[in-house]
Amino acid sequence: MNTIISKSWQYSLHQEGEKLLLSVVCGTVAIFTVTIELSAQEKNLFLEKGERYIDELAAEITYNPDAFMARNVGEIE
Amino acid sequence: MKRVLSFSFLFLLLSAFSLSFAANEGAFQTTGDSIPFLSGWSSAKVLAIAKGSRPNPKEYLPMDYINTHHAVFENGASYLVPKSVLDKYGRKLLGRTDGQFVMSNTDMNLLMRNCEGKLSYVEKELGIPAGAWAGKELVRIDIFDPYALNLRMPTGNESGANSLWLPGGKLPTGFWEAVVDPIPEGKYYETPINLQ
Repeated sequence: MNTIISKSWQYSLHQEGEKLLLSVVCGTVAIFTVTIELSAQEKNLFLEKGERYIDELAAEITYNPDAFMARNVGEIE
Repeated sequence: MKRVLSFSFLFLLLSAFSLSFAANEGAFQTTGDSIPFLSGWSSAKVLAIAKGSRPNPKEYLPMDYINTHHAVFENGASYLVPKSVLDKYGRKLLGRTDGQFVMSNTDMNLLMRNCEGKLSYVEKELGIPAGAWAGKELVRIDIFDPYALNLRMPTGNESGANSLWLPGGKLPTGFWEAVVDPIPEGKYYETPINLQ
C-alpha cells in the first residue's frame, strides 16, 4: 500500500491498486479512526482540487464521524 | 461586596457539584444546565456560531467558573487512544498541533472504575460511535502536569472538535474536558487498558 499523504494526528491517504483509502483521526477525549474508500466522485474531486479537497473531506469526517460510519472499512495495515 | 458575591457563586457551584456527585455514585460530574453563562449568552447562542469563529470562553463564561474548570485538572489529565494510532503517528509528540482534548485524571479513574471493563459503557460515556473500538487494543494516556502544556477550556474551534462539542468545558455526559498543547515524550504515561 502506498501512502500518498500523511498528516500527523489528522489523516492519511493511501493507494491500494485502484482504491484510494482515507483514514481519519476522530474523537476528542476518546480517539478512534474512520477509514473510507473514496467514491469515484471523491476521487475526481481529489484529482481536480488536490490535497485541499482531502483536507476538507477529512475535516468533514472529523466533525461528523457518525455520518461516515456506514462506509468505515476498518483499520488498514 | 464583589468578594462576597464571588464566594456565594463558588458556594452555589460547589453545592451543585456535590448534589451531582451523590447522584452519580462518586462521579464528579455536573449537567449542562449548571453552566453559568454570562448575561446574553447561552449554549445555543455559542453553538449557532460556526466552528472557526466561536468566541473565547472568557467572553461568555464568568472567570470564577473558568478558574474552577482549570482547577479540576490539578491531579492530571487523561485520554484514550487505540495503540495502533500511537504506533502509526509515533510517540514523540501526541495530538493535533492546535490541541489535544483531555478529561481530568480523576474523572478518568472514576469512568474506568464505573465501566466494570465494559467497552460499550465507555463508548457511550465518551460519545464515540458504537463499535468504533471493536477489536482494538486501547491505551490510556495520562499527563501529569497539564498546566505546563497550556491547559485551557476548549473554544470549539479546535480541528478535533466535533458536532457533539458543547461550550462550557464539559462533555455531553457531564465529564470535564479541556485542551492541551501537543504532548511531548516524557510528559505522559502510556498504560494499556482492557475493555471487552
